[in-house]
Amino acid sequence: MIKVEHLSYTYREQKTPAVNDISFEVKEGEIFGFLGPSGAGKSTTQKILIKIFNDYTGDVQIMNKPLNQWGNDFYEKVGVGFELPNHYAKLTAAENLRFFASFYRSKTIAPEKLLKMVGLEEDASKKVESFSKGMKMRLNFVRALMHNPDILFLDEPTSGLDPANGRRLKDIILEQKAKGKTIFLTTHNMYDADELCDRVSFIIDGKLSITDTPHSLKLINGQRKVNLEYGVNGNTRFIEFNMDGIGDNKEFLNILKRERIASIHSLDATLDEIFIKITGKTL
Amino acid sequence: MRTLVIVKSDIKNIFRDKSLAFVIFVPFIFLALLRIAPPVYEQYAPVMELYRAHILSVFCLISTALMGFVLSFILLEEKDQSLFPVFQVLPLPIGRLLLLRTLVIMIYGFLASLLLIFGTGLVDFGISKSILLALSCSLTGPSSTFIITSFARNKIEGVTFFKLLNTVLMLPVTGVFIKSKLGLLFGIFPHYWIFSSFVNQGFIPTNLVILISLIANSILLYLSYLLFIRKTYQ
Ligand SMILES: Nc1ncnc2c1ncn2[C@@H]1O[C@H](COP(=O)(O)OP(=O)(O)O)[C@@H](O)[C@H]1O
Ligand SMILES: [Mg+2]
Repeated sequence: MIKVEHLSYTYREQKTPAVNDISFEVKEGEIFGFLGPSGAGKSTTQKILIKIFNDYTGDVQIMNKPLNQWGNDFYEKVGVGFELPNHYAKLTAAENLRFFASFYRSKTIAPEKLLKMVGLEEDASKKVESFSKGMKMRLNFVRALMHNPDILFLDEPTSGLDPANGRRLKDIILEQKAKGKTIFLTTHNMYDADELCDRVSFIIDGKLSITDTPHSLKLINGQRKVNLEYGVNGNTRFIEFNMDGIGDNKEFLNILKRERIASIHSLDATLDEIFIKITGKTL
Repeated sequence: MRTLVIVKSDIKNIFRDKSLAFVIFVPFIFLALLRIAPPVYEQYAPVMELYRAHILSVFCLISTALMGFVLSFILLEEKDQSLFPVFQVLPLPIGRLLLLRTLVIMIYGFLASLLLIFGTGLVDFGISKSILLALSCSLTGPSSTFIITSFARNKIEGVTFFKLLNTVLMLPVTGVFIKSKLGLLFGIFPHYWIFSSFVNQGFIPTNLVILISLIANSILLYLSYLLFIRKTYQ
C-alpha cells in the first residue's frame, strides 16, 4: 500500500536532514506506527507521504503509484489527521465539517454522525473557539474520516487527550482497521504503539532503527525470567526464576505446590525499554 | 452546491467578526456621505464641483480595496489557524477556491463601485463607461488581498499593511490633480490609470486610458497572485 525507499528530506536552511534515508513498507490493512521522541522526524515523514513536501529524495509509492504521479484524486482516497488542531475558530464544529466536506467529490459522512463518534454531538453547534485542545483534536481526527478513505495518516492521534477519549479514538482506529483500512500513525506513546500497531518502526534523528511487531520486539528484548510473589506466615516474599528449564526447577515447583501464591509475572520488556536499548535514547 | 457551502461559510466568517461585518457595509456609508456632503460644501466652495470625479474615484477605490481587505482577513485567519495544510490535502485544487473567492469580492467591489457611481449621481459617465470604471476598480480588491496576505503574518499586521497599502493606492491620485503632462509620471502606479479613467486630463484618449487601466491592474492582480502562492506554499 505504501512503499518507501531511501527517503530523505532536509528543511531549507538546515544542514542535517530531518528524514535520513529511511525505507519501509506498509501492507494493506495494517496499522503501521512510527514510534519516536519529539523531533525525530515523524511529522516530516507524514508530510512527505501526504504530498505537502514535494522536494524529497528517494522513492515513495502509494497504492502502486509513484507519489508524484498522483493528482488531486489522491485526497479522495487518503485521510489526514494533523498533529495540531486546525479549524475555523468562528465556525461551529458542524459548520467546519460541512465546509471541508464540500471539497470532496465522493460522498461524505454527515457531520452529526462524525461528531457522535468522538463524543462531540452535544458540541456540534458550538463555535470551535470555545473548544478545549482535546476537543479540537477530536474534531481533527474525525475530519480525516469523513470521506471514508482507504488510507489514514494520523499524526499523534491521541496526544493531549484524556484517557477516556484516548480510548475512544483508539477504538475507532481499530474499527477502521477491521474495515480493511490501512493506517499509518505516528506516536511518542509506547502504550499506544503497543496496543494499536501491527508493526512499529523506531525513528530517531531522522533514521529508522528497527521495524517489527510489538510482540516480537518484546520477546527478543525481554529478559526470560519469571517473578513469583508468595506469602509465608503473613510475610510476602519475592523470588525470580529463569524461564529456561523452569519445568524442572524443584524450588519453583515446590513453591507452586506448597505456598500461597500472590502473583506470577514474566518479565516482559516494555516498548520504551526496548527503545532505549536499541536507540540509546528515551522516548 | 459545493460553491454555495463555501460562500456561505465565508459569509459566516465575515459576519461573526464585528469589524469585518462593518466593513462590508462601508460602501453604503460612503453612498450616504457622498449624497449628503457635496451639495452642502459646494454651496460654500463652488470650485469643489470640479473635483467630483476625483472624489468619486477615491471612494470607489477605497470600497473595492476594503473588500480585498475583508478577504485577506479570512485568509489571515486561515493562516493563524494553520488551515493552509488542510487545504493542501483536500481534493479540490486550492486555486479553485481562490478563484471563487476572488470572483466574489470582485463582484462585490464591482457592484459597490456601480452603486457609488450611479447612486451618488456626482458624475454622469453613461452606462458603458460606468461599467468599465467599476470593472477596473474591482481588480483592486483581490490584488489588495494577495498583497496584504503575502506580507502580513497575522491579522494585526494585516490591519497595518492595509493602512500602508491604502496610502500607496491613493498616492497616484496626485497625478490627476497635476494639470500638466508631468502628472503622467504617476503612470508607473497601476492605480494612476484608474483615477485617470475617472478624471481624464485629456493627454491620452479616454478609451485608451481605460484600456491601460484594465491591463495594468490585471497584471498587478496576476503578479500579486503569484507572490501570494509563492509566499504561502513556498
Ligand atoms: N518547518 C521546519 N523548518 C525547519 N526545521 C524543521 C521544521 N519542522 C521540523 N523541523 C525539524 O525537523 C526535525 C523533525 O521534526 P518533526 O518531523 O516535526 O519531528 P516529530 O514529528 O518526530 O516530532 C526536528 O529537528 C525539527 O526541529
Ligand atoms: Mg510531530
